[in-house]
Amino acid sequence: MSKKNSEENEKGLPKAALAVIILVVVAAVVFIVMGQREKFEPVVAGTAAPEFELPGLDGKQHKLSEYRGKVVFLNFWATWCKPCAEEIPSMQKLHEDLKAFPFEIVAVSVDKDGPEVIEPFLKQYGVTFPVLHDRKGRIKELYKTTGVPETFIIDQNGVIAEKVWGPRDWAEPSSTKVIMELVQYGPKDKEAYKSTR
Amino acid sequence: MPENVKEAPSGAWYRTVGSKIWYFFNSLKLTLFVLIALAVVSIFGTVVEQNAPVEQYVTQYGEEWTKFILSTRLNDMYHAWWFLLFLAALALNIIVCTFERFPPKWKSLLDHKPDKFDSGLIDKFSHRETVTLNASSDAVKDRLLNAFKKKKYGVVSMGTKGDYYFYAWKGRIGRLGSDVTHISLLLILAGAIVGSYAGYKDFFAVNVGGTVSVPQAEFKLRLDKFWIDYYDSGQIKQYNSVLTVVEDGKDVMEKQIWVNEPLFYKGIRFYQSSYGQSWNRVQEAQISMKLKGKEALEPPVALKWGELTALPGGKYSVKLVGYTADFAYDEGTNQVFSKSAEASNPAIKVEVYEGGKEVSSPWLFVRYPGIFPAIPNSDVDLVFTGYIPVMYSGISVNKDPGTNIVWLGTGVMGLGFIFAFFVYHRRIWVHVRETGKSTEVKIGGTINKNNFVLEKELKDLTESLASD
Amino acid sequence: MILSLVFFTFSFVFYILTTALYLGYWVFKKKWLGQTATAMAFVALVSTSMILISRAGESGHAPFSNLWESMMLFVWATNAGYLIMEYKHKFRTIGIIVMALESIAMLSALLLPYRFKSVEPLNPALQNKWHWMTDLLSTWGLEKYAIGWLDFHVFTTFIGYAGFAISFGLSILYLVKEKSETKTQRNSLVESFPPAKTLDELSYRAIAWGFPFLAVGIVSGAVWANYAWGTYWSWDPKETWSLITWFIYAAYLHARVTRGWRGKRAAYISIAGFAAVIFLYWGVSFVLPGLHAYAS
Repeated sequence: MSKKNSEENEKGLPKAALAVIILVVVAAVVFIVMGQREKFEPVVAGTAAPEFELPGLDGKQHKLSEYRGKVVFLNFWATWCKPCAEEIPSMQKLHEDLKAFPFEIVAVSVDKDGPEVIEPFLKQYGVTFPVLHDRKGRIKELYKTTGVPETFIIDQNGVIAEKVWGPRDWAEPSSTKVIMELVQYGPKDKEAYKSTR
Repeated sequence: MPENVKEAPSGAWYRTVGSKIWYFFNSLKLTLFVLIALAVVSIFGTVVEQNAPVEQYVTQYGEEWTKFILSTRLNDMYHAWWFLLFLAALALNIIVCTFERFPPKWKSLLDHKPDKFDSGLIDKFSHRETVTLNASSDAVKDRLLNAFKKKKYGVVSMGTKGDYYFYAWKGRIGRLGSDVTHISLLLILAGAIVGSYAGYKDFFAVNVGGTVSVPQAEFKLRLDKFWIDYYDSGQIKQYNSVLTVVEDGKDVMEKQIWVNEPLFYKGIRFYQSSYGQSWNRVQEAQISMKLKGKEALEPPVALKWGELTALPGGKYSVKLVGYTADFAYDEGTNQVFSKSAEASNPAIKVEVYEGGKEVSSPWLFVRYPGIFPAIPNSDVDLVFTGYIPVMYSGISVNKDPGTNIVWLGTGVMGLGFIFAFFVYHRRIWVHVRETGKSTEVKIGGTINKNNFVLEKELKDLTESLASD
Repeated sequence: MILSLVFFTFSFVFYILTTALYLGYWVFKKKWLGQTATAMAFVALVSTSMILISRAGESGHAPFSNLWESMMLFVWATNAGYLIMEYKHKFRTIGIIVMALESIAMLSALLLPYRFKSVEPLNPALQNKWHWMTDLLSTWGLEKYAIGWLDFHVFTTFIGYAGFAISFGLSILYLVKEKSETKTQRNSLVESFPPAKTLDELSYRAIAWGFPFLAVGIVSGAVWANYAWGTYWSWDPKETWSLITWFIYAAYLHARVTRGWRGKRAAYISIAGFAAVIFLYWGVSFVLPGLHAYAS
């Protein structure tokens, strides 16, 4: 009990000093955190597509910025995801139809297994568009995805024009309206994309 | 609490055995054992999936283990006799302990006031205070009684001027918390037993317009409407049904139900639990005529369920009278039925009329067009090309007469908890003694739990004595 | 900007700072460190409250609909419970273990995949509002703030978990202190904790809050289940584990009044109980469905 008494005799800090310390600490934390505010932005239509670097199946690294100037169809998928497999044929058709245009499909697989699982899968579906592989799945945190498949239509300036949750039949004209508009008329102001949400 | 084993009169062996059994259940160590055993044993039923089809156990655990699981009823362990035995042991434990401990406790709570005071008593308490005040014993007495009154204690005073004794008490009901809680557990158990014997659960898939015959009841339920609400993102928000209770041929009550919002009528509850695509009805089917000699089909004609529709050409009219999602034919009973709920082999039955007379009633298959000619001796064949499905509403029915007993039990349990955890039985003794010009006050007491509260009370009381 | 995630980042830092301050106070025993620690704990509580409030605004429903959101509720309740205990009894050295638990909890929430942190609309099974409350609030146009059995069930259960978490920390301290009290050589760090008897009493007080709240949580869950699906108890893993946890803490309460079972054995039961809480909260969601997945 003597420890308690010695503490009672200790004066400690006056309330004002305590308040100052707390305010300084809180202000510092707020300042530092707010300096990184992009991390808290949702990744949706009207925001910039985060840059990343991932290996293709040949092992060569590719960055998203490589495709700047083209309309990018960024698709997240996995071999174990049935709806992803269902939309791949229509994606391949879209890739072939728009071959002559500044349009690129970049399909990122989040399979934990290696290329030996992905390659046969792609062969089976006759896929010729670029496929990148994020084995650790970190792209999911970067793009804040909540499942697969998810597709981001990115304009020529690297701004997300449309975000699609789940699969789509990309052969349907209504599905590719945004893509076609971008290819034909070029990028819009990013505010304009917010209405597609 | 010492455990007494009473000896029965000699010669009555059943009384010895009986009392040994009785006192076996009068044990807190048994309570600990049963509670921990129940906790451990219940884990098995969460690891081994309950009420799964046998094939699943075989796939997961192999044949040998599956035999073990089934023979010990591990697949439905919470209704197995050995699990119920643990619950019975707990119930007996509660009953016997309450019988043994409640009466003396009740007696001592009613008969709690001391008839005389022992001046040395207060010194024996571990929670006590002594203060000396510059006031007369009468003034102190008044302050003390005031303080006790404010704190809502009951008080008895004794003694003579200059040498007062006080005994104060509060919160006796706190000691009954455990008994009230235990009774509530018995109520809950009783309610569960009543429910499992006198209640039932059922499920019906109803099409719009269809009726449910409610088991063990004198009324029917008719589904008037079913629809699904969606969020903007396309995810399902809610599915709803409008049900009408039909009793003695009359519409008695109408209610819209959705998931979480049931219909309650005469002790039976009806829940919106699921929905699906109907396997024996469609809203509309499309058929096309195929003319002899022509490769292509004619443009499709829509047939609404049960409606007679004239076909182009003026010769035939068709009525849609049947649908089955997965066509199968039982040769024994000559019946058509749906093998599954999946639309694997959709077929419609139509009645074809020529000039008002029925000439055929064929089944048409969307996957096998033209397999059998639809109209005998005709240049026209009919092909089933598409349909608009009808959704059925999945209604769960539940009757459980024990439910109200269980809720009564939980209410009593809440009361028991309040008494047990938040009401403290305090007993405080005070000796006020005038010693010359000043008065010495000795105060001390007991509390059945949470000693900090008693310490604080004693401090509060001594402080209030120092001033007015 | 997703405000709730901003406040989450603030709170995470605040909890780390609070833990460091309580650690400093425990080691160096300076009063100003203790005062700052308590003040920081308050800041963390306010920040955590802001997570819940902003999330409720973002999602349009009560902020406990998934694992991440409910972790925030757990952290909030444990923080509030601890501050109340510190205010009433003035034992600041206990802060280190409670705040260490809070930091671990925040770290676990941080490591969850994004899909747990995102704002999602409720599926049909989770929508329930009390009629009397929607009617009452509609007089001011505030019906959307009405809650129902589900929110009540989650909220009360988490008050229970918070009590059990605090008791878990105190039981560990009890075992450490009790062992040290049997020795003649006393470690000065362990000495600064309250006496073993006090730790035992405080641990009991925490369970005296946790246990009835868990019971209310289980019962309200049963009421909701009965209302939504027609049956108040179906022995599914989540329900069964909540009952297992309840049995263990009931055993704790009876152990405290049984000769030979007070003190150390009661502390072990309290620790086992919290292990059950963790399994009930996290294990059932992640481990048990895995078993079903092997089957299909």
